[in-house]
Amino acid sequence: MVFGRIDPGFVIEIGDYLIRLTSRLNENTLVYERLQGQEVKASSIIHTIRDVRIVPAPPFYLPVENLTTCIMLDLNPPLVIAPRAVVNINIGFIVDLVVVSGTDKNFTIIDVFDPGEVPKLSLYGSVDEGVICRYSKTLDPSIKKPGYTISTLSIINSTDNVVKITTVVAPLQRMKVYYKPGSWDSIASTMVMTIKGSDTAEVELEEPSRIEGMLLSPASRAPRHIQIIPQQLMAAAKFTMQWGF
Amino acid sequence: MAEQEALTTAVTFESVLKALGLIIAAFIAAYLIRRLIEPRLIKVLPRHIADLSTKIVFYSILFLGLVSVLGVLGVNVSGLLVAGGIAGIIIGFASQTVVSNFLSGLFLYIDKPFSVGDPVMIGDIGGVVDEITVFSTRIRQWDGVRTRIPNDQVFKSTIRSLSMKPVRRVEYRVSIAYSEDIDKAARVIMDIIKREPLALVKPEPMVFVENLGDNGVILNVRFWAPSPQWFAAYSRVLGEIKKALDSAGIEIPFPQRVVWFRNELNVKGSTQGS
Repeated sequence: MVFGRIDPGFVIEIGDYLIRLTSRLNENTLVYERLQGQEVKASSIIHTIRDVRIVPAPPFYLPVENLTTCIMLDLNPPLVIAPRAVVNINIGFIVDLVVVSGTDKNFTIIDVFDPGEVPKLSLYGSVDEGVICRYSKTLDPSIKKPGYTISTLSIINSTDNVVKITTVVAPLQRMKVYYKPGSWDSIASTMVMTIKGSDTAEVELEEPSRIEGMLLSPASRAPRHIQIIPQQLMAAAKFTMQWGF
Repeated sequence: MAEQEALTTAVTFESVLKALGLIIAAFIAAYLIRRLIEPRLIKVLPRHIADLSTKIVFYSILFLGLVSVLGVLGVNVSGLLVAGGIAGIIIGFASQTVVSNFLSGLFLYIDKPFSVGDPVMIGDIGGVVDEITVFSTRIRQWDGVRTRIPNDQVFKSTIRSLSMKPVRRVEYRVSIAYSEDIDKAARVIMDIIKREPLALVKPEPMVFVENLGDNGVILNVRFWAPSPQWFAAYSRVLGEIKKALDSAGIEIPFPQRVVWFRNELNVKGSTQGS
C-alpha cells in the first residue's frame, strides 16, 4: 500500500523516514508519526477522522512553504529542436509527498516530506528581478519511486531558428497531480512550451492524458501566502521565460 | 498712558464687529482651504505628512486672521510683528532639528529607500522598519529592541535594503592549514552547500582560495539564498562546514607565529617533583 488511504497499523519506509499510523484504543483517535531514526520529525493526533492518505503534490511545499510558484526543470540532456517543429517527450520530475486527513473537499495537510533527496531551489533570471523556483533535473520517466511524477513536455518551436533547450520553467499554481492508489504511479499536468524568440518562451499547463484509474491529489492546491512572488505571478496560468531557456 | 487711551478710543462697537467678522472669515477660509487641499495632499503624500501640512496651513491662516483682527482693534501690529519676527528667529533656531527631521522625512518619502516591513541596515543599526513618521523612523532591531532614528540621521546614513531583491548572497571566509588539501576542503564545503535546501542551485555556489593568510589558506565560500530565508541559511551552514571539516580531518588553524631567535636560547628545565 503506498499512495492513497492508509489504515491503522500502517508502517512504511520512504527514503530516510519511517511512516506509521496507529490507533489509540477506546479513544477513537489515530496517531500519525514520521520518524528519522529515533527522532520524531512530525506527528499528529487525528480525532474522529478515519481518512488519512499519502498523496503526491505539486512541489511548492518544500523546502519552505509559500516561497515559490514555479518549477525549474533542467533538461538532462538538453534538447535541440528544428525550426517550426513540435516535439513531445515524457519527463520525470520531483513532487512533494503529502499526508492529508479528511475528504477531498474538506481536508488538512498534516505532513509534507521529501522522499530522501534534498529539496532544492534555484533562481531563474537575474539577481535583481529573477524568480525563485523549485529545482529539479528531469529524470527517466520509466523510474517509478516515491517523490517522482511523470509529465509530457510538449515543445512548439514557432521560430525559424534551431533552438537548444536546457531549462523549462513551469507555473505550479494550477498544476494538477493525479495518483494511482496502491502504487507510486502519478502523473502531472502536461507542460506546453512555446518558443517565441531566441530568449523567450511561454510555458502553459494542460490537463494530462492517460489518467484513467487515477485520482486527483487534493493537495494540488496552491499555498495561500506567497512571500516574495510578484502578485501577477501568483495565479498565473502561464509562465513567460524571458531570460532564456 | 497715551497709548492706552488711543487703544481704548480705537475699540468701538463697529471695530469689534469688524474683528468678529474677520475672525469668522479667517476661520471659514482656513476651513475651506483645509478641505480643499487635504484630499489632494493625501493622494501625493503619506497620511501623517499630509495631516501635518494641512494643520500648518490651517493654523497659519488663523494666525494671519488674528493679526488682522488686532490691527482692526487698533493694536499696533508692527511692533507685534517685529516681536513675532524675533520670536520666529529664536523658535527657528530652537526648532532647527525638528525642521531638519521634517524635511528629511519628506525627502525620504520622495526617495523611498525602504518601506514599512523591509529589513534594512541604517548605518550600523539593522532591523525591520516598523514605522515611518514625519520626524523619525522606527526600527525593530534583530534582538527585538525598538529604536527610533531621527529622519535627518536616516537621510544622511548609508541605507542597505536587505529584501528588495529576491535573493541574497551568503559569504564566509574559512581558513584551513597550509598542510591541508585545498581541493578536498573545497569538496567537503561544496557537499554541505548541496545538502542545504535553502542554498540555491543557481546562481551557482562557489568555493575558492581568496588569500594566503598569515595562519592558513583563506577559502571564500559563497552561495545564494532566498532573501527572507537568508539568515536561516547563513546561520545553519557555517556550523555544518566546521563539523564537516572536522570529520574530514581538515585542520582549521589557530593564529600562530613562528618566532626565530638570533641567539640560541639558554633554556632551564625542571622535572616534576624535583
